[in-house]
Amino acid sequence: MNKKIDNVNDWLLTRILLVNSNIDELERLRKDREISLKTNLASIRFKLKAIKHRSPKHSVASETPPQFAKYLIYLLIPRNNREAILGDLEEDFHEVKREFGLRKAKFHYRVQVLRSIWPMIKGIVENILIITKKLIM
Amino acid sequence: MKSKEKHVALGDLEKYILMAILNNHNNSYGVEIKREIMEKINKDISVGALYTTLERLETKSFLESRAGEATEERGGRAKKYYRVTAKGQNTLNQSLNEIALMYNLNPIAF
Repeated sequence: MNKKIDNVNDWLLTRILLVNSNIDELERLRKDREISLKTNLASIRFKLKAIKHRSPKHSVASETPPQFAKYLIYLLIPRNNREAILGDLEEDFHEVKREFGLRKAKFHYRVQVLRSIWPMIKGIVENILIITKKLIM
Repeated sequence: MKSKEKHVALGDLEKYILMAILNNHNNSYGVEIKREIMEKINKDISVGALYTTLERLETKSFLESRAGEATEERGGRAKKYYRVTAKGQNTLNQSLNEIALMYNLNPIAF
């Protein structure tokens, strides 16, 4: 029974993808085939949603580290160390991606950036204090 | 025992970083230093803390840096290699000697 349902789901998904259609089309196809299982329909909708967000542009972008976290680094790091830090973080990102997958790699990257914010701010403040001290003396 | 030169105290992380670089033939970049510290003493330091400390050590002339090769895995960004200077090595030795002396004089404390 389950196999039959899966086959029907696959058939519906293929049809929808082929005709590049939407949920209304799905409903029409479902009625045509006289499929009355609402749970299946929900599952198809979920799959469709996932496929919809899987455009080629998006999949290429998702292979790279999170952009906002990267921007935070640009914001806080002086130019002389920026290349090295971003490179190290990216190297780490690819290593984690190889070992544990993309989602964990992205999480790891964000955590690394968040953990780095305080020491970076501290470093900036220290530099300001050193310059101020020199100017006063 | 007192040296005529002005003594510069090293923090724990500064010592670990200097030793990690020396362990790797006195030529390491960020990821290698981080990995060495993690493997040897199981301390996971953040990239921010690492580079802030590296910069401080460079300002004190304990380290020298040079740009390395860029790889595809790093998004085409160049590595930054660090080398401990003679001054850095002397200060580290002095700091480690102090610890050794304290350890021998007062072993109960450990």
